[in-house]
Amino acid sequence: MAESPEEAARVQDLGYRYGPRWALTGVDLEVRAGESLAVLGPNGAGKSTLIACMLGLLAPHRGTVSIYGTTPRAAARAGRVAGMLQGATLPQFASVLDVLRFAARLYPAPLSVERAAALTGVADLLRRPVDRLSGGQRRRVQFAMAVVSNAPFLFLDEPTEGMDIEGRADLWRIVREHAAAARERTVVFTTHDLSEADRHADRIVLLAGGRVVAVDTPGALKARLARRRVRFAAPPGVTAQLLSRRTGLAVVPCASGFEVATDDSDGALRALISLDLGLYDFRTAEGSLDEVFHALVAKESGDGVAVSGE
Amino acid sequence: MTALPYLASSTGFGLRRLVHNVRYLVFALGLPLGFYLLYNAMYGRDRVGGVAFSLVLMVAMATFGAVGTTLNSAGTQTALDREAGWVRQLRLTPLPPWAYVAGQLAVAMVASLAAVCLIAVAALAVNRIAPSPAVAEGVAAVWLGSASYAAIGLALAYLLDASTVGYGALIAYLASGFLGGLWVPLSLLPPWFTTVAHLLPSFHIADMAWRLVAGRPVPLGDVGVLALYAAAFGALAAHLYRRRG
Repeated sequence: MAESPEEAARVQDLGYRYGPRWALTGVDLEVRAGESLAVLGPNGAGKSTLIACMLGLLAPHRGTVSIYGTTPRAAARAGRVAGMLQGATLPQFASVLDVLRFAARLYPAPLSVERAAALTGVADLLRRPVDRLSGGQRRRVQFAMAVVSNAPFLFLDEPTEGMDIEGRADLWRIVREHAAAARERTVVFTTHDLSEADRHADRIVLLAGGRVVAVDTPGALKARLARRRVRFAAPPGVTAQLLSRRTGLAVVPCASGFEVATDDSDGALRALISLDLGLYDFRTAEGSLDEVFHALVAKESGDGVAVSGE
Repeated sequence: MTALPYLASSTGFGLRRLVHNVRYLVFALGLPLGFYLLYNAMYGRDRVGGVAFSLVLMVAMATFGAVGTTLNSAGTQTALDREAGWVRQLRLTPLPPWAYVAGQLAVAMVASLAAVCLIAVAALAVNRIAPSPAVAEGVAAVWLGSASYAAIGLALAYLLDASTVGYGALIAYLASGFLGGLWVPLSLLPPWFTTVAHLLPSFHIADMAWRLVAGRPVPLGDVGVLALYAAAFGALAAHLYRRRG
């Protein structure tokens, strides 16, 4: 398998199942060195399973994962990855300082504990036993563990889960600074928050029902997904099927009559009016990214799990 | 990094966590010490089979302390680490998985050494006995013998989960203490207690040390049984570890 030097990870035809249920199927993904990649999707889309497979915590039932051209386990052994996992993953009966010192000692080129603590805002928590931290503070310490490693590849599974708005903003600022501090630091993070992916990722992988629905830059995804809507009403007897057949547009019924989602709203308007069927009350609207995204995810996963956006 | 620094890091971190666990240490070290001081005050001047009862009791309570500390460090703490996701987190680091397990065992043996030495020092201080090679041999035998309980604890950690390991370790602890003849001399109990005691590693640890403090040679039977226990539970733990991680 040829690996280009700027490739940090390659996932090929990845499949993982819990019992008979496939949580991931046919996932192909390339992570470029130095990029920030968001794995976006609703709960149950397979985001954490994907991360666990990429980190070597789960052995895939199909396909392969390579990190820097080696196995995930070998990359971890070489100290080239660090991860912030979901849930409480800190040991009991240890101070924050103990945990960070221990973590730093395991990696070949760690940051100093003081520096990592200052960077991640846990400097005033160092003497605190891990057991006596709040949820948000625990997340911060987990993040500090990943930062102190100074590993070039950072996996953050739902990093802002359990953080307040201020904490979230802070975390993303630190991720940016930390990524900028090293050449080609790669960050892969999962989120179910569309705006978070939009703001903090170079590229977004949209995951739904265990499949990759789309991979692109936030801008390109928006251009592709956020289509304009043309809405209008029609006299009795006019059906969506009739309109669709005569114009070649995908006309669907909606609350106020009919609706067309299109990249070319002017063309759609012209086509509809030239039918001369007495259509009226035309309105055009920007498609909301959330809305289209939701539809896309719901179509793929066969259910209507909401995707939150801020 | 070669293997040794990983083991040192893992053990060092484990020891720091051990000393942070103050409430546990008070119980694990205090209970056998309290028993020792109590029984010693009551029967300390007696002699059993030509040996001062205070020495017999020292061996019994040192064994009890060693059993408790090894079961906790290798067993309960390991199960809690697995449940807490700490073991999972460590998988992402360069630490080889075996180094974590070896670290837990090393911490168990250090905790056991502390428990054994505490009782020995108390025994020597309270009874104003001069330390002798025989006493030192007995104390060392208890400590080395407790390695079998480190293996048992580790097997429990992988056999049980965080919600049940406490009970498992407690049952093993109390059964080893009472049925192993550490609390009440077997000579005062019905004969079938002796039969049961011979099945338990705690009895063989104490028996080995009792013989040594009495100036008798190392009983190979006890050593054999303990080695068997250590090997069997070590193999079980290794098997479960490979399957469950």
